[in-house]
Amino acid sequence: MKWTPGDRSNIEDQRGRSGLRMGAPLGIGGLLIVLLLSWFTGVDFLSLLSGGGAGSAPPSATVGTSGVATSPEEERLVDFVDAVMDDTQATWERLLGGRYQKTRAVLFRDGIQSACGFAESASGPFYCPADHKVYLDLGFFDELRNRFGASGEFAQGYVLAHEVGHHVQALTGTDDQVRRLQATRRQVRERRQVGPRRTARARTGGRRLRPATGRARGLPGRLSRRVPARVPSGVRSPVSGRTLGWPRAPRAYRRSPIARLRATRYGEAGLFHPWGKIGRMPAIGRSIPRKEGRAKVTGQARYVDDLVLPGMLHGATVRSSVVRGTIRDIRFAPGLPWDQFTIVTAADIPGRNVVALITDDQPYLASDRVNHAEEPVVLLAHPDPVMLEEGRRGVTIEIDPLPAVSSIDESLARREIIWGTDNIFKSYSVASGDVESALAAADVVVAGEYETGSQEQLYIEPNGMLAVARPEDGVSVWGSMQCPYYVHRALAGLFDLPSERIRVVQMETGGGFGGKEEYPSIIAGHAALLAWKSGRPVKLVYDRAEDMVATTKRHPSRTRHRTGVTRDGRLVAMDIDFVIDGGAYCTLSPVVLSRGTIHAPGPYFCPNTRIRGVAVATNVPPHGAFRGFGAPQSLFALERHMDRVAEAAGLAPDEFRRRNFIQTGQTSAVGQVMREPIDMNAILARALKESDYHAKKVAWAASNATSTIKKGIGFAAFMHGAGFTGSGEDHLASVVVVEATREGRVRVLAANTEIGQGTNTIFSQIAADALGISPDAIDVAQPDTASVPDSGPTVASRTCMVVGKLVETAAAGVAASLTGAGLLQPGYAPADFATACATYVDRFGALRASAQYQATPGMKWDDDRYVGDAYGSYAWAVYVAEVSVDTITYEVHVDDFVAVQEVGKVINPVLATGQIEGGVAQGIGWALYEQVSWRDGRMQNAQMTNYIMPTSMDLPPIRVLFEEVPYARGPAGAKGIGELPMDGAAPAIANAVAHATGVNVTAVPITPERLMVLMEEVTVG
Amino acid sequence: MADLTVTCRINGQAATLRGHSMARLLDVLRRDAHLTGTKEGCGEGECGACSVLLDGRLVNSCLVPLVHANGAEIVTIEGVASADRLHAVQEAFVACGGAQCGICTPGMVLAAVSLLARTPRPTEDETRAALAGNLCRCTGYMRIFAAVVEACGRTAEPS
Amino acid sequence: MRAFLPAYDLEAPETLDAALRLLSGGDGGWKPFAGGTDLMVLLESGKLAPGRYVSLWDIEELRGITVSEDGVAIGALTTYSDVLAHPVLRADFPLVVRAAAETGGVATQNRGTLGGNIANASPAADTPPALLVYDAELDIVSVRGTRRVPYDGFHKGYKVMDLAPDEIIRRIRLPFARRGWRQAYRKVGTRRAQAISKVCFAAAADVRDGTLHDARIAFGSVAPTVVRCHVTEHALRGRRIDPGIAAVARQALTADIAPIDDVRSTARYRMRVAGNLLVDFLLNDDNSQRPTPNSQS
Repeated sequence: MKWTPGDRSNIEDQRGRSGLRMGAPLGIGGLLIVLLLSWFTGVDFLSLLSGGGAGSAPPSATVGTSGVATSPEEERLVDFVDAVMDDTQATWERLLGGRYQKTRAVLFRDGIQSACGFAESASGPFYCPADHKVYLDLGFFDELRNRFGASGEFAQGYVLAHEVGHHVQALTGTDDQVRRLQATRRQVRERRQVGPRRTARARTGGRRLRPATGRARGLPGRLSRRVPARVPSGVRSPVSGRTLGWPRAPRAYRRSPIARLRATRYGEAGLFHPWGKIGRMPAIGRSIPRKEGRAKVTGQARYVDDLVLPGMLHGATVRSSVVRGTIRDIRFAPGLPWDQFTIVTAADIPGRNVVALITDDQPYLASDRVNHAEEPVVLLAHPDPVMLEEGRRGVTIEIDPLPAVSSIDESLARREIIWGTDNIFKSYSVASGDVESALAAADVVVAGEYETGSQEQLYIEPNGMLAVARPEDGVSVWGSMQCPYYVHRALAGLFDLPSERIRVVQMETGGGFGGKEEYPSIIAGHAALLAWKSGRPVKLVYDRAEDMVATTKRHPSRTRHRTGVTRDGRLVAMDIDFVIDGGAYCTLSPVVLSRGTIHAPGPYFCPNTRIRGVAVATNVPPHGAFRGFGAPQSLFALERHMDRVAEAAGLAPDEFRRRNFIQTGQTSAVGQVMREPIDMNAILARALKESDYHAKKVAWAASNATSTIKKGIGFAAFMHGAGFTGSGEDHLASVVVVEATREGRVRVLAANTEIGQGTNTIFSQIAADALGISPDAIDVAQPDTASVPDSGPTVASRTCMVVGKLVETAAAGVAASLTGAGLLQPGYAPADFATACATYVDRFGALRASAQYQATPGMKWDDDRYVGDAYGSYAWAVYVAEVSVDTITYEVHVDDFVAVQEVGKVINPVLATGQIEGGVAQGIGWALYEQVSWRDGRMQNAQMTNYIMPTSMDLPPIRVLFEEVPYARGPAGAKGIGELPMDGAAPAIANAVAHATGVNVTAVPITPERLMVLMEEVTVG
Repeated sequence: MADLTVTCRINGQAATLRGHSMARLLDVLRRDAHLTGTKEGCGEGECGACSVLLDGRLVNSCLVPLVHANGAEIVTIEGVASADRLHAVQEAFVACGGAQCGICTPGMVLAAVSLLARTPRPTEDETRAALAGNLCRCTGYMRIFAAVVEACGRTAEPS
Repeated sequence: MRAFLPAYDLEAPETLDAALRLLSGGDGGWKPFAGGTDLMVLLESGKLAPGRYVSLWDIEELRGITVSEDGVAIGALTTYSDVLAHPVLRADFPLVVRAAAETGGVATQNRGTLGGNIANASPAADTPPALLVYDAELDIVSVRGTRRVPYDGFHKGYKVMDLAPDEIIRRIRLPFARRGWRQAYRKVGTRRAQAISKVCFAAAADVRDGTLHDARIAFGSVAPTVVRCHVTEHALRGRRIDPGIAAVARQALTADIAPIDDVRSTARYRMRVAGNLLVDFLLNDDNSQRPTPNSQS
């Protein structure tokens, strides 16, 4: 082949970018290439591989930066790559005509962030279908030459043409077929039934590949993403498949249109892993049992309150009791043996008296001013919990009261300034188009105001921490939490200690739901302060009442909408005013507000949108994270409002939405071009069909007229962005480590916590598939800041999608180290993995790989202007609620619930279904039952008796159905799932109640008392 | 006399418990008998995390004063599995996703064991009623119902 | 645990005599303690009055349900689970069974007692409205002897009872007086289990030929005590069952109940729903008591 240097238009040069470096000399993709090259040329390069000498330097993962040191030889290689790409693509353009779209070769060194995830040189050349690019480290050509003797331009050209072939597969939709064929081939190869096959696959892009053994039907290696997970709904046993016919026989699974539509895009799920899953079922997509399930059902799982240390004291918190005021004095009742107590006040704090989070406004212990009635002022510890209670009662904090602010309206009125200069923690303003003009021109304008109440997370395990702290040793805490590194950072500031002298260990955690995101930092600090002063271990576990009154809850909200539509029901203007009540300190309010603001316009396209978001201060205990994080609030308002707009426009609720759903390629209110496939119409259609929506509407129109029980049905359409908002993940730069032992056991080291949602299990499944071994061989390390890297907090539906991807990448790094060292052959059996680990560890020592989150190329977010790519991906959903309203008691009961969602690949169907069901249950609670009664800034109903969460008698069958459109940057295509189900229940139920009764429900919870007032107004009016 | 010694059987073993006569059985089991599988979720008999079987009946151990344990046969979550073999209910909870965060699980398992002991083939209404005193915030109860259905089958099989 | 345990004592005699002697002791201050489902909650929250308590739990004489020609006699220590399991109660006193089924969860039903439910004197108690409808009588016992009193009138005011400090309830007697009457029980507590009533309604009516000949109507959670609605019963007696009865019933009811706002509900809601329940009972025969689900003891 003759070639001349071109303009390098086929090249994207990323050689100067820093990245994570994997030392493995030859990677996974490389092995595939070598394998194919063997077949193609007839030279058995594989024998050279096993002959090895490969990896004489111990492969290890190091983070490093490389500059662009280049050479004339390398530059010539770049020109060569450009020329081959040019030629190959010209050929394909001739063959495919307009169907062919050009790709580019991204040249990199060490590591690169592709849209398919982070990849290292060890990966070898690869094609990423998500961004349609070929990735190549030029060093791979050296490997070809040095180790395999495959020198010369032909081999190099072959490699490039091969990757372009993958591009053609992606364009023509044949990649899925090829993957199955690859699995077939590996099976066959294992059985040694075929020798090298010399079909010129690169030329045909694999299309001509017809295996001699026929189609790959039913082979274990076949990946079955065309078939969405079969998720048991109702109460069918996922194990035996038995049903007893209650609460409702699950519907036969029907493959949805969207599943068929998207099936060919399967290859976008990630890199082409050449080793496949040979000889075993993939773990992903199967409902393998929860890793720690046995410990939990036998009572062996250890929670913080189960820990007892010798000499341990018990801790207690004495709180303000006055809503706002100035501390005058702290008095200790005479007659108590105060010398037995450890007493801590703000004066005892060795470092900064600030709970480090977003804004340094909240003290660990109030010293002069209190801003809410549950503000901690004094800490006590005593060996005997009974005496400790006596002590708590014996402390009196004298406070001169100051005027307080108790509501959003009071805060905005600013008659009293209680925070900063204007009572505002944060505000956002988002605008696109010209809202005022569009409203003026609209055929119909509908205004509405909506409110949502506070909500207690009500995890069944109250918050608690155990601390050991001594000036000579540093500070260690064990406890119930979601985010060990949040606690870690807070403690470092509180004690003014270097981070290596702080250790935070997560114990089994009995539910979080956001409620153990930020508050554990306070309890850990309090326990540690008592331990520091007493020199003894201190356990500080809240009882239910204290947990309910003092810890964070969901932000109450008020949303005002003005919406303009055309006569034919097209949205032309949305004007949204969204306010949340942050409580006395800032905590996470700015980010809760951010998520709520971005989600406020929902899954619709509207060319003129304006959103103002404001988080205000009031003198109640700070509100904080709770599943959904602002989105349930603004989506409640939106989806209730959309039903009203539809009515005003003379359209059915579903038809109105169909006309306005956002589509792929359209731009959201914050300026994000939606690149992922979106098909809300298909989701809506399936949800309405499953719930028999239209037929029920007709039937009840007749039956409601004569019954005291009014039936209603309503739905909500919504989405939820996964991961941190905007550039949040870039700032976190999370790291995960995967290591393997000599025995072939693999450990995942991450700071993400198992709080019931299944972290341990899904991480095991992801790592298992990346390594081609059983999930039983995977251990997930207990989160302990002394041994796990900071993979970020366990929040924002990021654990599976963002951190899981890092687990996948790091695990692939471990596999690459083994294959690169010549210890594993492509298509290895699980047993070979253990053997290879033993050899590797003997030869090189530790076998570890790490992966760090890298900013997504092409994703842009402007924090100042608040525009750009708000989230890497969204989960999409439509939920339908069927209700009965008892007109005798005004009680609402949900009779049936259908939840259809598109969440990318479902890693574990049973766990995922459990997540949806649990989130829906909390949503039903928020919609109907759960009301925090405030009086003078204090929660009045801080008992499980009076704060009503749903029991087993109250919840309907929750029928969960998944669509799966793999997301390129999630592990195996998974997106986030945890928060989504919190968003949809409340508006669906409110719409159903409105349908049943004809009253305009504008607030949750829809308590019987509230509904009575609404219905009486209608009767009277 | 406020402080007393009671003799009872816990998980099939003779046991002696000491404490204040009004001490909560929950605390005595956890602190003195080191049976920490019994959990405290609310302290007001509402959540059921502290459920144990007292003379074969499901009770909230936070509401049982120590003096009422005298001579009683107590089964805690630690006594549900026999040797290395899980109870059918426990197996079903693992298999069906009946446990998420696990804090309500010991009580929930005992409530289910208690139900199936009385009613081997419960209806949906019976199952819902039998578990109504055990609150779960994670699952929405659906996987727990599935586990009960599953366990019915398992207990029916010869073992 | 917020209570200071050393401030309490709990004795557990095994005979009624021993218990009554303690209660009558000259030093006084002993208070009865049954299944603990209320008092232990107060203890935990630090709200139980310090002092000495007599556990009645081990006293066999306080247990058992006996059936005679005239009615049943229910030992005060009878638990809700015992009620649910009893065939005669299920057949003839469905409102009591319904109340037992709707009290707490299984664990509470296994420990909570009818005697305790009465003597705790909560206006939100679930079984007392049903007992009032059945014209219950109480056997009250002390070292001074036994007396029998009608349950109607036993509660004198908020937490005030016709019960001396040395007395305990020994048994509850229910006559077979409501056979053939239309009966209804409805606990309104927002959720379907583990609720504390916002309004609790129990009623029975002797309706023949479209005329209400007699009625018993009782409510919980709408006054300082559970109440039997004498004014309303009187106003309805002898009336035709027609739509006009609704206004009469609602008007009369305002004389019998006096609901308030509290942490669980509002006075307005309680008044409105109490009226709705009563009117629905009077006008809609199909809302009468259906069979109770199987025992969950």
